[in-house]
Amino acid sequence: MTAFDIAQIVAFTLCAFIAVAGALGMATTMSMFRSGIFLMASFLGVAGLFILLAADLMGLLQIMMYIGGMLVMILFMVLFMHDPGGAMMAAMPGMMAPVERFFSGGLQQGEGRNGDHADMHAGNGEAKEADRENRQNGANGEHHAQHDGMQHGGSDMSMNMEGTHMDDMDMSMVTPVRRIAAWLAVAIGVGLGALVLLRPSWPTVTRHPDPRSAEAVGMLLMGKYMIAFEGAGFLILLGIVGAVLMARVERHPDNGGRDARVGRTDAPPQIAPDPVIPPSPDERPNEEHASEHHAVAHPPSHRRPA
Amino acid sequence: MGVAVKAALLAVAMLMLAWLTAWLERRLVRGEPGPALAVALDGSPLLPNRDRWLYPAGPIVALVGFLLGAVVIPFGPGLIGQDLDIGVFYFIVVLDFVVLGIALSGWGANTPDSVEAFYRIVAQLVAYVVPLGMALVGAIMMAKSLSTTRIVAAQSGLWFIVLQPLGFALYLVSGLMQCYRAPFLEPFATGIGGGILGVAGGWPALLWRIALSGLLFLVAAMGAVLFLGGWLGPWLPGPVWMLVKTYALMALMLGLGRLAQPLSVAQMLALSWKVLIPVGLVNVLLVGLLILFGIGPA
Amino acid sequence: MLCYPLCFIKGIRFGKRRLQFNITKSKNRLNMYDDTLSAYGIAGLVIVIAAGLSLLVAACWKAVPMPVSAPAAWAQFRFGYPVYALIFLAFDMEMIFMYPWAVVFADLGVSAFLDMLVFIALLAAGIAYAWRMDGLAWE
Repeated sequence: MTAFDIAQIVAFTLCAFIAVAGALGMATTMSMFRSGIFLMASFLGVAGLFILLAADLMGLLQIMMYIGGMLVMILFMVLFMHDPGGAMMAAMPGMMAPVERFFSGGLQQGEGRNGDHADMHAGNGEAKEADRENRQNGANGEHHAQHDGMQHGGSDMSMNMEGTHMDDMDMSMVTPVRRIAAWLAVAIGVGLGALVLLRPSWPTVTRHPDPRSAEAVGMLLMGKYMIAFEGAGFLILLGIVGAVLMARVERHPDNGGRDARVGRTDAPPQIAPDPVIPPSPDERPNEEHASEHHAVAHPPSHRRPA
Repeated sequence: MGVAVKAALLAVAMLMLAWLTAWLERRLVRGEPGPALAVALDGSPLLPNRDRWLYPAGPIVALVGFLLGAVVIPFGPGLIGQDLDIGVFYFIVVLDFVVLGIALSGWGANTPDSVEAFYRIVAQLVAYVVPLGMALVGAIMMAKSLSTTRIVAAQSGLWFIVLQPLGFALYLVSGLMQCYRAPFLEPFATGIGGGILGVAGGWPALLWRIALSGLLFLVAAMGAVLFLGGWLGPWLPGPVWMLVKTYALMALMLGLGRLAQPLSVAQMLALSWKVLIPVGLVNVLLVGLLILFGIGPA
Repeated sequence: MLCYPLCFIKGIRFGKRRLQFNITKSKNRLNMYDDTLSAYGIAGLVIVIAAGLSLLVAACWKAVPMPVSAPAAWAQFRFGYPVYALIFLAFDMEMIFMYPWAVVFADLGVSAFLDMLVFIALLAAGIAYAWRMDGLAWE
């Protein structure tokens, strides 16, 4: 095995590690921005694998698409998510598994330790206990203890924090099936890995791949895959039309939208009392009841189902 | 190991050229400095809320992008880091790492100005990539290859600037957009305190200065390769012609840029999508017609 | 796909042969595949050099850190160019098709030109639609 082969093996190992670690980081980190960056890193690893197979045009296409695409995707995540930087979740280290804590490292705000911010929430005593339990119980009991810690921590925090914070909470942290989901994911991963590794024979090719990638791809696009080429153009056109249609302001919104835009300031019409039955002295308390119902109706709409 | 020596020599040469570019830019540009000159090297601000992984990674990624891009610039008949078959495409892809570095540092700094710089830098990426690609496609079509040495060789009869003036003009504008020089300065504007450069100090500031000056050099060098015939020239040796053409193109770009008013991000995006991209599409069709009629290198 | 379970069973019966090194390739260093790989070897080396230099500078730079106070800015933000960003993604895919076409165009003549004419017409229709529908505007 020459130095060249050793270099190839090292490069393969490195690219494969980056691809897998990037995917793991994307799934476990608390920061949306880092999630996009980890996905980008994972695809950079895949691009390295493409280059190792001498498909350098494909590898560089991956890099180009995914840098641009992931940056735009991060922008849209910032548009829709409440806590795109992960600062709020990173301040609650007791709620995260060790993997998540590792990939969310470095997100703490202010110069203090992670624990400083967490102490400010009164319900964190439970979370810290769960943290200690995690370290004691080891890997098997970890999920279970954390599950308990999370229930306590979650319910305490819902009492201590304002209503709006529950909207920011990452729902995957408090769902009760988290442990089952984690083990299911591991089982599927092991199953897929076994399917790949336990193949009886790997097909080997003696022909070397064509190093002139651009000419080969160009000839194929103009020849065999012409319909795919034009079809892709058509799909891109559909994408543009869809994007513009979805994003533009509606000219004829529905009633609720129109009222919101117009901003109705005139009072709703008075309910005319029945001329036959004279207005009873109970009518004023009825009005107060109506306003109370109206006021009480608001806070439940802020609370998410636990 | 020949490859390691070549890589080290390339890195050293590019660092010296980036320093020369920064020095020349300071001489040429009066008034509002470009982004590379606005970085203060002393003092090292310690941002309290920074993302401790992403914020330091920004300038490193930008420097990696700059040095990777320098691998495919031909400085002479045999003087090139590596003559990749897809050299020009590799160049475009790798310079996106500079944008990625600015984005990482912008978001990672976690100050309102820096995060605003992050949004502006992605807007600039959205604006420059497609017009730049259209400008390059013309030269690629005439040279029938993505390799930079073959593009230079295809200009041994006539430089592409003569055959594709529209493409050259498009490259000037989108190249300026890529370098964050006037009039496309918004990510580093004084209105947001210089963006990421306003809070950089110490070693990140040095790396930013190298990366941003080097980016200007690379864009000018690729313009010289694509439109001005690279290292081809009558009496002087190849590398000298290459440097002369690169710095002449850089002076032209900076000079023309300063004639225009600084554009806001909205105006830049509108300019890119309403003017530059239709012009780019027209340019591709024009060059196609030229080739069909037999004009251009054989 | 149907023979997958069969292969799996056969694998268990005949033992596991997982990876086969193709040793013959390394004896023949002058083929084009190795050239392509060693071409990107310099790119990998340049990455290592750049990262190493940066870390060296970071480690050796002695500067007095000045604490700065700034409010945190990671929040939901409605940026003003969503339509531009989506159209950029579409055109990024289009540039992917344009680069290989540009390389082979001169050898293929009028038919390739007409194909690209159709492609560009589709994209121009997209931009025209976005323009007319006020999509190309800052929000």
